[in-house]
This record gives sequence, C-alpha cells and structure tokens, in this order.
Amino acid sequence: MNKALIKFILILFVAGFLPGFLVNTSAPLYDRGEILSSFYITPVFGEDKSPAGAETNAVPNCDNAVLYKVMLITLIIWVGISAYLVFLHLKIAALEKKANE
Amino acid sequence: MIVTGLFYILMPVSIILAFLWAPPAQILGEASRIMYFHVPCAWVSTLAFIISGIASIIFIYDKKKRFTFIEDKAHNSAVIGLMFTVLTVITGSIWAKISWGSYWNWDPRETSIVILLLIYIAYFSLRASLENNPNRGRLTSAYLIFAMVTVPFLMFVIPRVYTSLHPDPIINPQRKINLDPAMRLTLTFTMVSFTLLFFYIFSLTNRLTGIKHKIEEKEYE
Repeated sequence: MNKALIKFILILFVAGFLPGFLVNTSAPLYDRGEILSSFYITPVFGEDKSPAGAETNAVPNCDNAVLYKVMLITLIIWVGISAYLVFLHLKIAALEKKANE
Repeated sequence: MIVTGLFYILMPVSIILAFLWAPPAQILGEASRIMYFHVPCAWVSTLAFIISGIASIIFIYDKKKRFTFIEDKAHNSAVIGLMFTVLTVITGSIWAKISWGSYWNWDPRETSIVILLLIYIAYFSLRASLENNPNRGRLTSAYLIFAMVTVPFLMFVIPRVYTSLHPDPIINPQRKINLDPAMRLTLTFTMVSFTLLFFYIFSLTNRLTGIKHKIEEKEYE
C-alpha cells in the first residue's frame, strides 16, 4: 500500500474521530430516569417495540433454565480458550523441535 | 511460571465462585452470572490494547533496538485484545437477549465496541498489506498508538455520555461500587484470573514468535 495513502487514512481517522470524542466528554452524565424512558424509544430490532412488549422483555429471569443456559455458554467459551491454549503449547513444542534439529 | 501456576489455581476457584457462591442479582436474576465473564473479558481487551500501544511507542522510540521483537509483541497483544473483544461482544449479546429481549439493540456501548472492533480489524489488514515493506513495523506501530488513544473514549467515555440500556458501570458517577460484597469478591477473583489468563496467552504467543524468528535466522544462514 502507498505510504502517502496510509498517512492520509491516519490523518482522516484522527481528524474525524478524536474531536468528536473530546467534545462529547463535556456532555452531562445521564441519569437512570432517562434510561427508563429511553427503553421504549430504543429500537429493538425484531422485537415488540410497544410499551407492553417492553414490559414483557423486562420480566426478570430467576429460573434454572437461564442458569443452565449461562453455564452452557461459558462452558463453550472455556472449551474454546482451552483448545487455543493446547494449540499454542503443541505449536511451540513442534517449532522447538524444528529449531533444535 | 508463577503466572501459569496462579492462573491454574485461581481460574477454577473463580468459576466455582461465579456459579455456586455469588448470589443472583436483583431483576437480572441468574443471567447476571454472565457478568463474571463479560466484564473481565472487556477489561482484558482494554489491557491488551493498551499494552500493544505501549509496546508500539517503545518500538518507535527504541532506536538502539534494546527490546527484541517488540513490534511482534505489540501485534500479539492486539490479537489477544481482539479475541477478548469478540468474547465481550458474544457474552454481552447473550446477556442482552436474556434481559432486553434482543441480541443487538445498537445501544451506545454496543455501537462503541463495534467501532473498536473495526479499528483493530483495520490494523490487521494494514499489517497484512505491508508484508514485505521494510517500514511495516513503524507504520503499524503508529496505527496502534492512534488506536490505543481511542480505547478509553470508546470503552469508558461514550457509554457514560449517552443514555443507555446498559447497567451502570461497576464504578458509577458517584464513585461508589454498588455491588453485594459476595458479588464484588467474585468479580475481583474473575478479574484477576482473566488478567493472569491474558499474561499466560501473551507469554505463549511471544515464545512462539521468538522460536519462529530463531527458525527464520537459521534458514537465512
């Protein structure tokens, strides 16, 4: 890639993003009342957007089915992380063998 | 070695605490347990991106080349950061589905993390496009420094500025931690365990990079 093009992208990135963020830091902090009122106007794609639908969505989930679901999700994540760790160890062992030959 | 040992002790303890000891949160119920994985993943991604930025600064200013493979270390840290950002998005989306009824709502925090993901995906495409360029290290390091600057804004500033469905940050604007003591302890354990996990993966990937360079040097000779 052309060096000038990369510089241009970096300048555009800095010029476009940073001032926006810096200006936004001076805005006031939100409060919980605003969050609750925004709950009804926040677009929830594929879901019932009416107040009744929002109330349905806000029903607490205090049952075992949810607990098992969360456990299953974290288990899948842990299997993935463990597989990655095993992969790294195996690759290190293979490359060390190659380096010492 | 110490990091690995501590990780293998603390991580199982953290998982047990998260599922068997910590109480479920009010309103959110059992779904709140995903917090013990979602929040540490977000923390590790921030830490990884900051480390990659610091390593990039060292690479640019290290004229005498005192630090070996520092650019590769910055890259490795960015890879881990991206991996944990994806995990943060996955766990957050599942939590959103359970508590808000939808996987994705374009909430300010969800939007800001997508921007962060795009910034780091752009870094990988930039690095890949400069494969045979002798200035690759300097260019990608400069990009990582700029990317690091955006991390605090996208992770901490944006979600506090706009109205959001996302729960209050752990440390809220009143500078108080509104968490049950058992939940706080569990979260502390998981944060420490995930930090150790980061350093464990980081040391493995750095070792791998070192061996690859050793093989390349041998082949060159």
